[in-house]
Amino acid sequence: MRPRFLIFAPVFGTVFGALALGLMATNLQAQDLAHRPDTAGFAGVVQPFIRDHCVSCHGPEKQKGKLRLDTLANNFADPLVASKWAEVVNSVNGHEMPPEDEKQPPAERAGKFADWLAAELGRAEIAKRSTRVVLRRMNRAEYDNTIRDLVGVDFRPSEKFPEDPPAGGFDNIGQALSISPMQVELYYAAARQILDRALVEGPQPAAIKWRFEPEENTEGGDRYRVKRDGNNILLNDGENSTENGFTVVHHESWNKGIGFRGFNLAEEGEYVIRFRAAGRVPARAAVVASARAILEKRRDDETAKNPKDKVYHDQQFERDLKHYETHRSYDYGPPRVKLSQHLGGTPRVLGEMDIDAPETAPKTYEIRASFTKQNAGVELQYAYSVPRSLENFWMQGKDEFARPLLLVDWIELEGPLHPQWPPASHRRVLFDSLLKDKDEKAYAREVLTRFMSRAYRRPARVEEVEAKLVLFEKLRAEKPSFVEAIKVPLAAVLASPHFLYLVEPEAPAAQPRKLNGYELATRLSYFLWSSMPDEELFRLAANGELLKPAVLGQQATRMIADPKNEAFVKNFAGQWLGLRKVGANPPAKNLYPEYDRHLEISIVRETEGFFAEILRRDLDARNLLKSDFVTINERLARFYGIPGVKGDAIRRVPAPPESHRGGIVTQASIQSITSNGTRTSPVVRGTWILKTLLGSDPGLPVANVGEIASKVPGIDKATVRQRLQIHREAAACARCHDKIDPLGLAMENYNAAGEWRDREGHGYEGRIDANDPIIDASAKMPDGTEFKGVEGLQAQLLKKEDLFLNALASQLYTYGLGRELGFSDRPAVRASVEAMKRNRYLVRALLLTIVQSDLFTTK
Amino acid sequence: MNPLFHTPLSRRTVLRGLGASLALPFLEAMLPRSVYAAPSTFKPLAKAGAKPTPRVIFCYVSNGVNIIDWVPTTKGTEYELSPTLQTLKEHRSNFSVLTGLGHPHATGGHSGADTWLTGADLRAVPGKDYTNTISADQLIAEKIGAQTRFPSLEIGDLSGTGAALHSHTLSFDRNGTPLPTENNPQRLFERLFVPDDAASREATLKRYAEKRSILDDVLGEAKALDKKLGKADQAKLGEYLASVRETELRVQRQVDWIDVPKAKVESAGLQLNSKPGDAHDRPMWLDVMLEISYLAFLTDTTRVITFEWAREAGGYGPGGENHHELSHHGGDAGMLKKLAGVDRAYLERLNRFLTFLKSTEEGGRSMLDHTMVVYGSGMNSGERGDHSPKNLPLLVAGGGAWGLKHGQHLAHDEKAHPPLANVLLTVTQKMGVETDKFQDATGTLTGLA
Repeated sequence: MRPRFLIFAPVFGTVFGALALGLMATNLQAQDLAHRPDTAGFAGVVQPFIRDHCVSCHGPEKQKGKLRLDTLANNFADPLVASKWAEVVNSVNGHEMPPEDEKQPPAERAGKFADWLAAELGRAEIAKRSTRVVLRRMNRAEYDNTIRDLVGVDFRPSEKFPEDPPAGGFDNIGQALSISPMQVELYYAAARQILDRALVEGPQPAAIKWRFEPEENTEGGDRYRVKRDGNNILLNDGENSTENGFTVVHHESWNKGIGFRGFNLAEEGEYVIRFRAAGRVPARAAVVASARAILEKRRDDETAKNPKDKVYHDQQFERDLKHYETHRSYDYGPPRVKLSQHLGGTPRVLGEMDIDAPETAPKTYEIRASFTKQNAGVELQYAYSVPRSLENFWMQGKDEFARPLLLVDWIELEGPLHPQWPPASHRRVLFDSLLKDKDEKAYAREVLTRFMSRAYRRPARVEEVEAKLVLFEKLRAEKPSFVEAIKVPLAAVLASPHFLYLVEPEAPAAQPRKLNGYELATRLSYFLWSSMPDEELFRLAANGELLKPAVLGQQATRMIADPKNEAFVKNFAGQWLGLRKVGANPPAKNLYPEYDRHLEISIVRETEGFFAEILRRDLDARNLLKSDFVTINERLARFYGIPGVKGDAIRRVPAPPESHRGGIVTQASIQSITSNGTRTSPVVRGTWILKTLLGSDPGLPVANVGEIASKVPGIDKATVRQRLQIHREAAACARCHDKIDPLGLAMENYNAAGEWRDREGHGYEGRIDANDPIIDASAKMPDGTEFKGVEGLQAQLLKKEDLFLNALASQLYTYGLGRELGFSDRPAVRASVEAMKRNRYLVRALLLTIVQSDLFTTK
Repeated sequence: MNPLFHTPLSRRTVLRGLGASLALPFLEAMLPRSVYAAPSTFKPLAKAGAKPTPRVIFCYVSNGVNIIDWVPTTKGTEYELSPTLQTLKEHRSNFSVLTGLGHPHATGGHSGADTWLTGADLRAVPGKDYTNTISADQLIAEKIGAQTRFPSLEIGDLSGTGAALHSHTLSFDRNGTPLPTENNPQRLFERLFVPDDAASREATLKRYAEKRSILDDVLGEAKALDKKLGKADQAKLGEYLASVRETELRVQRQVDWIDVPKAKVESAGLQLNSKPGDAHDRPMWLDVMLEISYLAFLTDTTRVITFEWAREAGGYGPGGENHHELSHHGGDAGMLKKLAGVDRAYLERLNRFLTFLKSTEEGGRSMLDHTMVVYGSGMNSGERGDHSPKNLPLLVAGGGAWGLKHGQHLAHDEKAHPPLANVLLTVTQKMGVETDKFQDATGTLTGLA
């Protein structure tokens, strides 16, 4: 059995010591291209340990398991030798070796031995990496954006593509982006679909505009039909009441949805769904009053049944009422709507939105959706979630209970939408030309030349165009029209390696060469936009201006300010910080009732918005670690207990100190992805900080050590901290966990959903009772550094700003180059960080030095 | 809140009037007023028409099981069914319980579905965060898939492929690329059994010819590009070249099948509108997907199926339970009891499927004797709510005609056990694939065959 590798150097041992900066930032020279053995360490650490603890079984006399260690070379560059050393590390870390009945090394000594070996394995591994950018396939996001910019249709054709395999934490790494026959099939099918949507023939299809008044349904529920253009449509007003022509929805339930279904549209294409609606939001006093009425009735009914228990019923009443008076959940926001589409039996959520219009001024809301000719339906559901906590779960569905009410006037479906005919996508590809009606073949050549020069992101060569023209002519005769025939070579363009890959040809074995203007424009646009270059970049590529560093810098600045830069925030920050994992392992509903879909969407938007704010407003990058502001919406403001924020848009607001928010580590997104759905995981949180913010990977645990114990003997309410302590008592575990866990334990005040807490709940369904243990968020690192709570952690992180900035710069380089970094890249990373520090610590300054670096501008 | 089941016009009524093979699309009037699916009224056939061939279905349940109630306390052929396995008692002589097994490279957590049929070391390739390898079903499909219209089927409760380490599919091709699953019963049924428009034969052939022209063209372009590239780039482009060539071969295969009509199948009783993500519909959805699998085998439409019943971590139990939360039971007796309930409810679905296979006669034996059913999870929540890849819950049913031995508990020491790949190799061989290698298999599993 092969061991699991501890691939990366565990520099965490020294993170809070003096050595760390040396290793990360200053010790390495540019000529450190190959791995050079550390002979002093080998002689000082490894050999004595082997002599004392291994050689009796793995030496000249015996070679148990066919392994001899006294002669195993200090040559980590050799994969076979390295794999044997890796096995040694794992068996020592896993307490398998030396065997139980042999003399045991002191834990500290074994730790030093294993750490040295792991560090060498990591160094050798990084030295082996290619530091050339390799031919890189577009990933899913890049494919969608490129199609949008190239063809002008925006409908996420990559939805059916498999996930792209990541490397180094990112899914745009050329080496890892493989391709399979199935993907070729999918690229081909997508190409046909894209062209069918983009290119049209004949007159503009007739548009429909259907409006439905739900209250027209006099029978109630899902049993009333209306006719529209030959369709016999089921119009459902849900089991709801009606006021002044508005359908009033009180809460979400299977029988409360409003919608229309069972129709087939005559034309496929993009449609708009509109609805006119408003909300009626009860104030806290009204909520308490409604709760009081229901609770009083229950109390009185119970007391009538069991008069001798009156005192308990009274107590229960007071307790429950207090909940409605004090819990933040009853400071309601506006009602919310989830709009879904059904196509051919498959439901799909189109979007969610707050209904922020007051009853006095209802508004029209809209969302766009693609429809096919399949049997279709549209459903509008109430989506405001009042947490189902113990006190309210039985009365949530009662109409008397005050909740945000959704009032819907009408729903409308209009389309297919064609602001012009033929549509813009058609005109872009099949543009007007003098040749258009004169010479079909010459026009086809013109169309292909222009399309290929954009699809291949460089001028198309004559022979490439002629080859496609052959395809056109070959199929022209059997096609009913020019449009149908030209789709064939165009589909071939979209299946071509020149389109699917970012191609940068190189002379074999040549030294790195400067990229030409087109290649540079392409790298730049896939870095900052996750898409192809625009006209301006193509122009500057053609005249060579882009190769001037000043122009390159101006372009990067322009691109960061462009809305397309949103893709960079989503793809870079989303993967660097792990936001794509939000919701993969969500906090359990019964334990964390406030974690709902709206919160989940909001916590991702918070972190993206935070990164974008710092990037675009030119704020000091250290704000990422600690900031005096947060980027939140009303939903998050309620969750975080920050008053005065109204509306669903993420915006920057000052963070009051008592909110304990401000900085990435205080954000619910990070708290929730570093928990396991039922409880916090200080280990995962510590690892996350080491990897993401400090740039050192503590590696995988040596073996599956299992879940921490649910109960600790002798302790009535054992906290996660105490349960973890048991686990760490094993010396082998402690060696690593002493360096990891304190970082995570400092964040214990945030629960698994990211909510602030002072005590760890041990009551029914995780509720906090009066005597539950107070959170201990103190931390002590192996070097003796002590700190407390998230504020203490942030102060420590700020002291390590160089580690953080190096980590950030390394991640940006990795993402920008589309390859993992090697040792030889480190001086460049360091130089970029220095330049950034000279320039007010701006993320934008860091980005500019990256795009102007030799690494970025050469192949 | 109990939804009422309305009685809409039954599908059978409609089909009688229209002729059995014309099944879909469905008429609005047939939809029950409630949006929920009704329990299935599907009945298996007494006799199958096709020539008996080996078939296999791999069924995966997520989040492990209550292992305490799952593992029988006694071994061998005289073993006593465990409380959970009692659910399958009527099929006792037709399945084996395998315990103590696992993939040596598996890392636990919720990556079980990623490696269940591949046995891969997902972090084996330096420079990549994740690489998978071919799954057993695809190895089989590569060898025998050409004999059926669909070389294999992939079914899952969330469609698509999902994310690395939280895979929505059990199937991975030769390059380790995940193959997307289908979760919509209606779409699956249409794909398998609803005939293509007969008039479109010529059009279809033209479409294939056109596709080949395009593939030829891009292949030419790639070859020209290859000459301009350095070594590392050439290796990447090599993947593209190989994939395009393989795609051309597949087009040829599709052409070969074009004149063979799809099997005619009645959709009577099938709840094709069941939704996998709906707590109420879960059992119906599992049933209908297994019914379609049964029909696909019966008609020799495919011989290889993978079916991920629920995705790891977020997945629902058969009744919509929060299965993942229960898997973190921490040894809590109440949660373990609920977990065992989920396990039994799942096994009831399996039991029903086995009964279908058993009750259908095929060449003098039952269909079950010709069909291998591998059922289990890639995770073990242990006695404390671990997420371990060792001592996985696993059972193999059917395939008696090909020499699989049943009615036994094959217990292994979880510290020194043969790799799980040995089970996969056994099945692969019984499917008629001549190989003695699969992943880290050391041979077939002793005692199973």
